Amino acid sequence: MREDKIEVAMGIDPREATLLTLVAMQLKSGKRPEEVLASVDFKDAHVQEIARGLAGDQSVSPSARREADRIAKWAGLPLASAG
Amino acid sequence: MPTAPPTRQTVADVLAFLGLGARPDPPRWPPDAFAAAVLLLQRSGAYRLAVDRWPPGSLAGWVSVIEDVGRRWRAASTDDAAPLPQEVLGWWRTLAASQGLGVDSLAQDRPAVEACLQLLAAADEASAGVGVLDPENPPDEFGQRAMGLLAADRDASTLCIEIEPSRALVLPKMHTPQVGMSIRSLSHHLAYCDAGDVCPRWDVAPKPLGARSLNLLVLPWPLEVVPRQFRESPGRLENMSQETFRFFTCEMPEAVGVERVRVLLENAERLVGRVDAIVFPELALRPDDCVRLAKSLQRVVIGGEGAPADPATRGAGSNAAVVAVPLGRDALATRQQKHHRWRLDERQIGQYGLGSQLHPEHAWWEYIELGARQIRFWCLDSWLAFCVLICEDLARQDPVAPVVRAIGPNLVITLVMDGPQLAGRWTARYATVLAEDPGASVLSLTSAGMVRLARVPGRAPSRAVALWKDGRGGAPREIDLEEGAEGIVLCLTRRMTTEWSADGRSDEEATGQLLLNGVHQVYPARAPRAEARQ
Repeated sequence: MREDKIEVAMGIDPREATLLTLVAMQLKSGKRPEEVLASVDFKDAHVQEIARGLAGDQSVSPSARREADRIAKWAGLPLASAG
Repeated sequence: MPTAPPTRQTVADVLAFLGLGARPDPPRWPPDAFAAAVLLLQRSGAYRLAVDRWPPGSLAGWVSVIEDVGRRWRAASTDDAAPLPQEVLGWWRTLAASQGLGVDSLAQDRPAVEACLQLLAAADEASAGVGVLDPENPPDEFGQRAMGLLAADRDASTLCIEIEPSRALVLPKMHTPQVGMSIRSLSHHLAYCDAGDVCPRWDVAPKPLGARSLNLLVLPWPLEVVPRQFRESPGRLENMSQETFRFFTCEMPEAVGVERVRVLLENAERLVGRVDAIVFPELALRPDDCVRLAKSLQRVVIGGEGAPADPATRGAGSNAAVVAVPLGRDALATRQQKHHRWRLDERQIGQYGLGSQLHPEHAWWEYIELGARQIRFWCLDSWLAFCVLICEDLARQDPVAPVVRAIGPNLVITLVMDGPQLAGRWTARYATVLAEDPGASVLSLTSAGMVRLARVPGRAPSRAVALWKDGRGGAPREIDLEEGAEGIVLCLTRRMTTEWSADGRSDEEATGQLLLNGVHQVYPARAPRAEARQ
């Protein structure tokens, strides 16, 4: 669209957040977790880990699980920490 | 050699411009059809006919029909095997039959105008709730596909599939103007934006507020600014008249400590229970401060970050608005550069007492880089989206004002480096414009240091570091920083209101309006309990 690229800030690209919201939406709509995770291409490893936690993966780090729980609670999804 | 005479722009030309030319059937995806209808109605001026003779039937019939068509179109939009509603097919074919018509004659072709207005309204109804995650409503395929489009890796967001972003953009919308009559008056859920010199981005926080209020801790820092912090800077514009114009840059020496902010945050939460975001004025912070603070404090941080120009390299300084949203052990962040340089004139040099540094015989331009222009919209909840503007970007209407009015964020935060935020000054004037159309609430915030430095002729010294204006009417509210305080908590409460489109559709109380219902001073002293722990 344009030659000069938009400057980015330190931190995670917020598009990753929108993708995470998309994962929450797809899980809430009843899609299978593995199908959802396969359809989304995260660039940030930590956000991907949070998404895995949201999809019920128990092997994620505690910080990712906490964050996944917060999102799940709001979105009305099962908590990642519930096992 | 004779040249061909200029030709009129036709309906076909407009559709071809969007990449939708010469097709008998409408786009399956409603935002694509919305863009076509909007562009035709806008270029022809025919949108005004929605308040001339409308609807084609009774109002109750119109609303229920268009809602029903919208629902069916939404369902069919994600299923290639499903037929599109007959109404949509009929309206598009009416339009296709008028392809040879000059756009300037469209308003005289009543069937074509009605087709456009109905396509626009049905596409808008089909897109209800787009761009947000609403826990009350299970997301359908349309909502999921729309969210995927918004997350696409490109500079500008768009909900379109068939229309390339260099041609036109369609984004989610939060406010429908309730005054005046423009093309924006016709939709609740979709905003049309010309592709051009500013890229709008729509980002969604995955961890929404989950509350009916928004508590902002505003820190009007630095608390002291002295003239020595303004200095002349060499620039790279060899063609600039040195007799008339010079460059200046600002040094903001005070580094912001996390612990200092943490104490104020704790004291603020003792007052109001919960702080959702911390806001700093223009150039209050150094690069990367917002992300550092957001990660440490686990709060949204919105602030002006900057760096002075470098005289050794003649490199320009930076001035940007950063929004950092904590996520796990990291933070999401957007950085939006200031679009316009501040120009200090003789009156302002006198007002801020800068004569020892910047001679009033010259006009002084702020020496900052002007990068690719972008405006970021953050959706924090199903009812709340905000954007940030930096000082001049509120006053200069181009290029962001049309985008802000189209999308209609619920909150516009303007970070300024300015004198007192008085109801009679410029920020109040421009805030009032946005409060009326699109209906946004507007907060402007400057530093206590700049307020103290300023002497507004004919006015007593003021302590007003912030100004609030909401769409409820009435005068803008000046917000003082009291002696000894270092921050203020603003309690913004949500009121759900009903907005109407010009074609008679209600959004059924789906619009969140932010109202200021609490102002509390925050002092730096640690609370006794915290001191006892040390």
